Amino acid sequence: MKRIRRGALRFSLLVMTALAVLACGDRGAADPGDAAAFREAFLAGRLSWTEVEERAAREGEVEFYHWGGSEALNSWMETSARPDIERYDIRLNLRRSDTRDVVDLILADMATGRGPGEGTVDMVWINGENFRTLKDNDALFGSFAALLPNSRYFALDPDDPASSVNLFDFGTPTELMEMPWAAFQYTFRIDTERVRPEDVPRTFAQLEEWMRANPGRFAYVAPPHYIGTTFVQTLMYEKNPDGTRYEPFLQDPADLGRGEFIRLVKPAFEYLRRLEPYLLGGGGTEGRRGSPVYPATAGALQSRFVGGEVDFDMEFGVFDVDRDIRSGVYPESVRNIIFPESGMITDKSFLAIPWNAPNPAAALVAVNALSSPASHLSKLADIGYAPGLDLPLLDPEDQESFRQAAPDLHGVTAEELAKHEAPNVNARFVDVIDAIWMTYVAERSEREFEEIVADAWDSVVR
Amino acid sequence: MRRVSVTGRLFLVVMLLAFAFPFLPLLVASFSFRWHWPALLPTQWLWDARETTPFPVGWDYLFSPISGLGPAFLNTVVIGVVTALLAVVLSLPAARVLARYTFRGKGVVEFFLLVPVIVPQIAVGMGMLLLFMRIGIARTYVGIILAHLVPAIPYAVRILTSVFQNLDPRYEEQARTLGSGWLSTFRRIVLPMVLPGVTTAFLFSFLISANIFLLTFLISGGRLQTLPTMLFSHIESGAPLDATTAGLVLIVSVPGLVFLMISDWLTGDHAALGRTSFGSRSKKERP
Amino acid sequence: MSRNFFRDRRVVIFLGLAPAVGTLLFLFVGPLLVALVQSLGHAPIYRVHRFPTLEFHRQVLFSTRFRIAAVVTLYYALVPTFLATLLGVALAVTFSRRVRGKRFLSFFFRLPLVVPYLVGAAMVVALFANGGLIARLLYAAGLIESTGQFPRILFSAGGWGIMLVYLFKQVPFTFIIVTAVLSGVGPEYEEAARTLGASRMQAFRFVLLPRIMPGVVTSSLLVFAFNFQSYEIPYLLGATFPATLPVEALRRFNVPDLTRRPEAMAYVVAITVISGIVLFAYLRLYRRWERSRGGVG
Repeated sequence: MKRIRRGALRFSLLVMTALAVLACGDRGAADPGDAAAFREAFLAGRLSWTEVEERAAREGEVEFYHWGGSEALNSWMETSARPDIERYDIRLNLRRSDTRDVVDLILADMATGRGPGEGTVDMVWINGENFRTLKDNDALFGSFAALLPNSRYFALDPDDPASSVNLFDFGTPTELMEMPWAAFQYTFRIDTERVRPEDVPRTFAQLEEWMRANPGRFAYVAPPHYIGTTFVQTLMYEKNPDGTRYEPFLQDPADLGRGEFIRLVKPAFEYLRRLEPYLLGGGGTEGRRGSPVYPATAGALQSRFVGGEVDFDMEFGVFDVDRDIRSGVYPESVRNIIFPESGMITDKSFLAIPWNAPNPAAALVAVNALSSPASHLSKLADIGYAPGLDLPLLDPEDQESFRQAAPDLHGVTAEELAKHEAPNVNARFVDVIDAIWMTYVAERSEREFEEIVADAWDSVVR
Repeated sequence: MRRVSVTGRLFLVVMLLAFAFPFLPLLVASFSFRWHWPALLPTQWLWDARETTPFPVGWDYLFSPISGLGPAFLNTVVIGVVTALLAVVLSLPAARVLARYTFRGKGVVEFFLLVPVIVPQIAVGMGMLLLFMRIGIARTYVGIILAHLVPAIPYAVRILTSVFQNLDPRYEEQARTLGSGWLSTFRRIVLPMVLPGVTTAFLFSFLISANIFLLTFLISGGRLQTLPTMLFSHIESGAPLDATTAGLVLIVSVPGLVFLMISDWLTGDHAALGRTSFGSRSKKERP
Repeated sequence: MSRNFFRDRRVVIFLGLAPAVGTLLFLFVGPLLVALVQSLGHAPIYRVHRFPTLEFHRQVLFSTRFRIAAVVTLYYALVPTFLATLLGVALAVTFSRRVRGKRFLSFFFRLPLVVPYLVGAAMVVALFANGGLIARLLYAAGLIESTGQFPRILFSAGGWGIMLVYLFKQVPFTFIIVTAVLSGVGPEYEEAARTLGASRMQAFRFVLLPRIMPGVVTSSLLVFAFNFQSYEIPYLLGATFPATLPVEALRRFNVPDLTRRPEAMAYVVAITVISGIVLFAYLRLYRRWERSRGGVG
């Protein structure tokens, strides 16, 4: 029996060792102290780009976390991003994950004492409140954007008004801690088989009329999904009683003040409540709420749109229609529309590097590789992601190839879209909007609107 | 034995349809390219659209390196096999003791070894994530495997206990009185007799591991994908009759199908699955 | 000495139990304790140092959101438990008779059991969505004119979509456990009862049911315990509001503000306690029933 026990012991030790190897095998090999020194030297501008590339090749791999819900994007990552990055002897490890989870991962690593070179994430596709959370927690690598060779294709000069979309992310100053990567405009789509273009509403007021005439044919994504939050923001702009649209929402909540905020957003939230009976699953007539359906994700709304349940779809990305028709997601009769005329939110999303990135040099080289005109061009041509770089800074030749590569806009023109651009709200409002929506609209709380906002405000702004 | 009545037969057919039919639309959908309301069948099939899509879709997508299906499948299998091995190894001694000995507090031990099955996994998972972060195994294979052991061990103990209950200890004693050493007794007598049961325990633990979603989701934090976590993100963001999701559903069903076929072939007994898990316990409990 | 040591009964028992019990102590009791301690305000990892406080529990337990969530969670868990038990027992009893193609049938009756719940979710969406296949069939047959006329099964407070997935998985589960018990009972008792003049219903109630009851209790207990804590199905197929307890818990776990994590922990502690109370009450009820039956018969 003793012999057996010892054998079992040895076996379990073997298993444990194997597991330990499995666990540690994927740890970056870089020496942490070394990574901290590298970070400092690079940010101080003491390293040449060749030195960065050499170190990157030594690090040998990069952990790139990105939202993986798009087959188109996943394809592009594999066919375009991978060869572009692996050219520098860096293996690209693509990790598909919800951005919120990535933020959590980075902060958890920090909380358990993992410093520079000891984290898990090298680079992440990010924007908005997720970026702000990282920034507020000092979890970012530093002001690297202008130090990359390809930064010459981006307007990063604070004195140039064209730079503001690159230097502010939902109102948060990026301080060059993230690199612009793609530009998106929030667009609504219709199926012309079901809605005639001449019946298309152009304002939320007209949408209300349309919904009353066609009850149960409209739905919007539930906040806190960003597609849902953006819908509410867009509505807030039009219903702003001062007619100043987005302007008051660009500042920090603390500067705007709670009372003023309540006054500015109340009409929008009343609109949302008033329209509940006419939403998908609503009661159909005035005062009968029914059980309105709020799809939890953009994909869930899209599936109802192509499933014939609702007549409007909404997403970030003006070229989506073209791509989704070609890949069979949309019927061929789907078109973009200009809605609402009060402003279609336009923003950029970025690539950021965490403070404790295990392979910081490789991350820098990878971000630089994905910032080249060629990379942005293929992203536009292959999957319809509008470029994050600034076309006026390119050679005329390159500018022309971007114009050539731009997919069809199906129903709208680039001029119309540009005319109706609007910026995003300050990131600090996002959680407040989500909390109000959850209590006032989804939960349909009996309490006064002012009281609900006060609660949401106090728990988030503090 | 009584013949089944007409209503009974009708009932069986309805149930058969309810369990088997839902796989059919997914099979059709997995080969579709355009299938929008109100079409009853796809208006365009995958093979007609392959040349014109900007990137692979449906099965083409799943079987391209882009989808990550390969690594997810491999992760599922590796995690499942290691989990099952560990579960069996850890449970064997306990099962033998529970089957052979009566001792004070046995009821408590039996209860304790059963509780993980009924305690909310979300509670275990959230606490476990923090614990694992502390010791640095969150988001690793080790972490996920250890997490999977929690639901796997109770089943393995259950199955193996009934195996030892059916094994008469006198065989061992006899072999040993006839001069056989411990090791050779184990190899020649015990092992052949428990092997089918051990295999069942292994397969069952594997199946449990391969089907776990929440624990993997919490512990892996998106860093490691398994088939269920991959399917989750596709259902979350996909259309109901989306070709890729439909194909993935069929693939995710493969481990279960294989399990069912192996266990039928091993035991030749369609009720084995129930008896080896909790049915036997209930029988024993009868007053 | 060592040889005797390993012959000692107590040592054998202890060493035998140690691996399984020890592993579960670490992997199962440990995390539960972590959750409990965090819910009481000790979470240095998120810079929460308020141990011991009942503040987070109070915050959670006294909110309307929690109470509504608790009610719908119980509802979504209990209805399918009841229906799955009913259908599963009926299926097992019917199946225990002489049936042609038993192996074939049994294969498909067990198929849902061996696939993840997520597979069931995908099927329910494909079939029962308002733009799904069944709605399309009704549309083609001229019974409905638009998707809006099809009953709302998914994503509504009624939770029918969630319950359908549970049934898809749990009728087979009940079936298999009861079948296993039945195969140990054998047909003789029931046939004897019928020969002695009992009606089919009487034979079932007085002869078969008492024998399969332990199996029925075990399976329904496990089914309820699962349903009550399931996350992915109510998350994918439930309404935005009301959401179930696990969905609310993970929503709180996922807010970017990490200092609010103890709230999520208070939720999971509550889930564990409520589930425990229900299961305990159910077992007590069963024991009483068994005792009363013992007293009469």
